[in-house]
Amino acid sequence: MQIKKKRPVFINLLQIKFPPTAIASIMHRIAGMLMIVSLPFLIYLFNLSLQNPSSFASAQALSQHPLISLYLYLLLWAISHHFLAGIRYFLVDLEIISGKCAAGGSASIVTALGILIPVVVFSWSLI
Amino acid sequence: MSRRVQGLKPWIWQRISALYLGVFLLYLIIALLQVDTLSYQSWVQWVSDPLNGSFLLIGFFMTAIHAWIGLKDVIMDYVHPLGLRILVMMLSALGLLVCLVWASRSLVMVVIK
Repeated sequence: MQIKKKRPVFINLLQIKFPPTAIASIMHRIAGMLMIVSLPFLIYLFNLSLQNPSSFASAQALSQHPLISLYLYLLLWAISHHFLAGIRYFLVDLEIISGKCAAGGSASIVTALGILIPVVVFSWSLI
Repeated sequence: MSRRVQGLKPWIWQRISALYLGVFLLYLIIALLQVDTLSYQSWVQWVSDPLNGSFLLIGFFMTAIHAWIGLKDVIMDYVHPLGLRILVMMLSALGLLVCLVWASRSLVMVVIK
């Protein structure tokens, strides 16, 4: 059976309004992918830091390089968001979060806190 | 296991590993907050501690499991041609396995040193 492909299609990403749950969900996925592709670099850093005192110092220096540091803050966002969104999924599974209002509200909180954590840690590192 | 509940095992493992990694992350944060200045000595001492080392090693395994299930779902969502999908999955699995061996090796080398 052929289905007529005459449905209205609207995929302008700049004009589609995504619900907070969708945003938290895609961020959870992006954060996970970002952490996976970062694994080799993180293991390299872990390995370098454990070799000897001078390699420990160079691992420290490397992580304080402006660009690497920026990247590590991005990873801090990724793990914060992934962790919080993960807790949210547990609460959804346990039906502690249920209904459109709680789902949307909690997703907004997760997205906001995920961004807030690296910002707070960065501010903290300045004082 | 019957075909109808094929996805149940990875679903459960994703949650077991998530629970472990979540609790371990909190443990790491608490340990980190107790450090004044991080030195090579204190860092190696922390990693070589039998309890921390074991938690870390289990953490590496859990990370590999968690990453694999997540990656597999993403690949199945976006890579449709079967041959390419299998190839990408095999390369991903190999990559994660190399990461797991590399990380575990770094840890074990410190402990036995």
